[in-house]
Amino acid sequence: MNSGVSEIAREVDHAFLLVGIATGLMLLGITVVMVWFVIKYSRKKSKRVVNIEGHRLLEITWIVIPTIIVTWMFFVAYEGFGMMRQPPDDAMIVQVTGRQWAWEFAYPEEKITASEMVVPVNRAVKALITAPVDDVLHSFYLPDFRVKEDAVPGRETYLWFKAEREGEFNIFCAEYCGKDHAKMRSTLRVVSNDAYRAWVKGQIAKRYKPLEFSGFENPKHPAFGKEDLNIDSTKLFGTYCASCHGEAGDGSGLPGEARNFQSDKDWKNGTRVSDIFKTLIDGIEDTQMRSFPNLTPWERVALAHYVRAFQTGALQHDTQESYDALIKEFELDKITGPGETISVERAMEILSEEAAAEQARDAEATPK
Amino acid sequence: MANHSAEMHEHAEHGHYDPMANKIGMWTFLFTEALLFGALFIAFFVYLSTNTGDFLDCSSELNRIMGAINTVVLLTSSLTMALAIAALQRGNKRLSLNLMLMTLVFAAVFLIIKYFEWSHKIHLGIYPKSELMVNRAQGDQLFYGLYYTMTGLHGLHVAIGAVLILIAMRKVQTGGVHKTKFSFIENVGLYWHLVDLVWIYLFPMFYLIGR
Amino acid sequence: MNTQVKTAASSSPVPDYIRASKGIWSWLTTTDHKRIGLMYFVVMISLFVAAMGMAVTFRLELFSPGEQLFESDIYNRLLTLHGVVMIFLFIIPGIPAVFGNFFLPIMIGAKDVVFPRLNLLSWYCFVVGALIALFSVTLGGIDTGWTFYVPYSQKTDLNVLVPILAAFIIGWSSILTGINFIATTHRMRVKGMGFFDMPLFVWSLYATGWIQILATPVVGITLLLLVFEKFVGVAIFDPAAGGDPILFEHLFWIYSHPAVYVMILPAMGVVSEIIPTFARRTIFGYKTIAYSSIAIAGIGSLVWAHHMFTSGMVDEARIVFSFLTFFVAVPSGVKVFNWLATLYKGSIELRSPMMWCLMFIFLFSIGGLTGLFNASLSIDIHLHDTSWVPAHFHYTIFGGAVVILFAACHYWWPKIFGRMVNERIAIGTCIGFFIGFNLTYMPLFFAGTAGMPRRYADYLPEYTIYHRLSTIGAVILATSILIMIINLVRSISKGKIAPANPWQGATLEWTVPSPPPTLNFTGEPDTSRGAYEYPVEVSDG
Repeated sequence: MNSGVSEIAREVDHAFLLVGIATGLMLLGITVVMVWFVIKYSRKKSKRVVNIEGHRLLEITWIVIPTIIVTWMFFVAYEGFGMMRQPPDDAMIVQVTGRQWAWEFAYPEEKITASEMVVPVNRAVKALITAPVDDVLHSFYLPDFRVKEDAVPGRETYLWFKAEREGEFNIFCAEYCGKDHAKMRSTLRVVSNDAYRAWVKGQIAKRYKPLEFSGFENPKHPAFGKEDLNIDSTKLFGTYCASCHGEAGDGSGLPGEARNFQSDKDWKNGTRVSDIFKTLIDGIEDTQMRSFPNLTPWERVALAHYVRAFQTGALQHDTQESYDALIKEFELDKITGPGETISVERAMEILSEEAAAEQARDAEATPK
Repeated sequence: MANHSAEMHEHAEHGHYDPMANKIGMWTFLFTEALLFGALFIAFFVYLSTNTGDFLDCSSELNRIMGAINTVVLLTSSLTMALAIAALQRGNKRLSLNLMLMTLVFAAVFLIIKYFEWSHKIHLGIYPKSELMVNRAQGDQLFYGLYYTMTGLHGLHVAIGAVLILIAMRKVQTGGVHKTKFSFIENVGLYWHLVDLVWIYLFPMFYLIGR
Repeated sequence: MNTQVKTAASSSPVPDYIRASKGIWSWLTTTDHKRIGLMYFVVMISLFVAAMGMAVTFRLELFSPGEQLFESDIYNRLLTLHGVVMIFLFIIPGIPAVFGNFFLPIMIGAKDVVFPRLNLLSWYCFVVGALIALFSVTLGGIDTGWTFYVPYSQKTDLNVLVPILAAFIIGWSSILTGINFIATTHRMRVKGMGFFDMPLFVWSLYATGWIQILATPVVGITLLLLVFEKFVGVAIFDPAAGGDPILFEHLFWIYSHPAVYVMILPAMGVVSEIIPTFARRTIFGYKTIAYSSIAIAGIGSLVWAHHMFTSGMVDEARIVFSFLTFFVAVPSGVKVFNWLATLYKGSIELRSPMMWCLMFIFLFSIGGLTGLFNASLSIDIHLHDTSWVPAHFHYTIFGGAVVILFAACHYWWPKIFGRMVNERIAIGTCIGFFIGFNLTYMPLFFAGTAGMPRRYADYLPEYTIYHRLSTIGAVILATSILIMIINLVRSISKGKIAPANPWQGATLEWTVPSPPPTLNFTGEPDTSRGAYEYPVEVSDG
């Protein structure tokens, strides 16, 4: 037991000790008396019994004294509970979401999310705990801090703690939640104020690339060339996808309508990069998912990887066969890779083409 | 001695007639039934307190006239059942049978009215997981969830009660239950009153709380 | 004061209940409370051995961190099935269904329970429920935990309908038995036996009967609602439709907490029979023990939400339920003190039933006292849903109710089968059980305080030592129990012929032959001696 990690933990351990001593003495008393009587009044030694039917005063005593003891215990433990349920007003807020089978920590002020919990030392932290309405019960448990509270779908519960020393501590899910209940763990890192600020800064920097890869990492396929493709997929996602699918890809932009990229269930066209690539060209019939013909093939490749990564939390390359099929079908090997620079002439050409197209559109829009 | 023992054996094998024991057994059973509905009442009042507005709105959608007619029907049936028992105790087998038949008719009327209420609601598209239902407010979904569950369960009890009355009629006819041995019909009566009593609570809870 | 008025079965003119009629059909259609009790026993003990096998299996998986024998979904199903079978099919029917059925009528001088056919119906409900539960295993079992908490039970792909149906039907068995016992106690007592002349086992069965009929319907309807919601789509607990999963927890525990008193109260009744018999003196504080049964039943019905201190329920409710919970410890403690006082100035013989009883006092005291930690609000916030809770639960229910079920087996076996059990092996298994039991569950208390959550198929390496010890203990424990069962079964054919009153007991069942005749008493019950009336001079019987 890491006693003394917080005031609450100390208080709980103190209550534990008091109740432990009291109950320990009672157990000792019961056992000693029992063994003593069994030896003293064994059949061999005791041939005459005394049929005592009761003793009112004695019985009243052993009703009243335990009653007093348990009442005392109630107040001993109540003190710590009062402390647990009164977070200081200046506590820092962390939103904790439990889903099968991972914890997510959102810092509303800094607008960042993480899969581990990082807090500064000596600062009260209030965890607002919930679970998505289509999820199940979980319980947010910090054993070293002696606190836990259930994550109830569609409700918000809370607990708070103030870590008094730096270190790494276990986070468990304590309410049975299915197959990987035992693996629903995370880490609470208590760090110095400076380290915390640095971490937040890092997270903010990552916010625009919240997935574990920056830009678009080269799938190392001959067709893609050897250099990294310099596309900011996060920005692309923000521009084209986030308004419906939400910044976290959970479908929260257009609730109930847009696909939740974090779930692997019921993808109409499949979840491979090539599948998503196709969807970006064709859209999905009878839904609000439209086509995005204006994206370059490389942007589509980058976005498809990005969307796919929501399920795993990190960039995941497709199988070689999938890439081969994609390249073959869309003749990607015949298109100039985006990593290459283009000549000034080609740039002029593109610009003039775009200008001409704009003029044509304007002309069309003008009533005749 | 052997003869006496055989007689006792006979006695125990078929259970002996102890109206008091039967009454104690029935009353304890009624406790169970009351608690069965009790749990549902708890659920109802918890949700009523968290979704008051929705519950009141939904309550107004129910047909109060039909509910009221059903209340009168069930109350009257309770009366006829009680009279049937009294008649049997006075030895008037024929009157008792007729009164039980009337009780059965009331039970049928109750179920038919209930059937119309339900089918009308279902016709309107108000039933669990219907397209209309899932798009309504959460309180509405809970209200109708409980409405169907509780009136359904109550309806089931009415049906079971009716079957029991049928059995009681048969027993009275064949003489298995008679003037001095009326535990069975008395217990059926108790059960029927419970069914009635539950409805007396269900009616205001679902039909009358609305505006 | 001669208790051996009636001689053994062989010289009795009336055949005993086992030989009264032959053939499987005569058993399946019997309304004899003794035969029904025995039939319960056969079904229950088989299920117990099966569920124990499951527990040993998942304990072996937990021997080391990581995956040893099977994946987590198999672990979760074994865990659930162990809980469901042990709780709904073994320990809730438990002592009342077997020993209550067998001895309640005899102890009050009756020929049978007041509704014998209803009694048989209860047995059939139980067996049908058990068969349905076993059938559900062939469908893949369930992985919800025995508590069936929503929304997980609504979301799991496994079939929850079938096991819930099983629990529902078994609930009826429980209710009908409760009704039967209450009415029997009121109406079937032999002339001259008042409520305060009844043996304390009867008192405890009476209190249990009330809990059964008052609490079982609540869980029945709750499980039914769960089924309605899952299969009909009625919105009740689903958070997406505004439902409240915490309401399910409340409704579930309104039954399931009193259910632990259904498990333990009859056991306490048995202890109040065995201890006076082997201390050969009257029970200390008869009325206090009788009233404490009622007090436990009463207070025990008001403390359910102490299972929910971290559920997100409002703080005020947690405070109230914590406060109330502490007071249920008092009547339980009073019973322990009274039993200890019964040893005082007695003449104690350490036979196997008594050994089991003394072991019960020790184990149950640990179970009860560790319960005080759980009742303590702030401590429970830490301990809730850690392995501390299963440890506490097993100390009270396994170390309490099941130990006493074993004690009752050894105590009443001579009466039920007319044969004595091999005493040496019995005491040996008793000691083996004690060692195995403490080794299995004691480490779990320490793992729990160190933060090891329960229902984990895998764990961090820092908890390895606790799990290792526990697994070794479980193997010792299971071995002892198996030897004990073999010893009991073997005695039915090989044991020495038992006299009518091998232990010099004072209650009515010892005045009738072993095994008793179908109608229990060959003449009028001999009520000249009180249930706890013992001679001052001890003679070795």
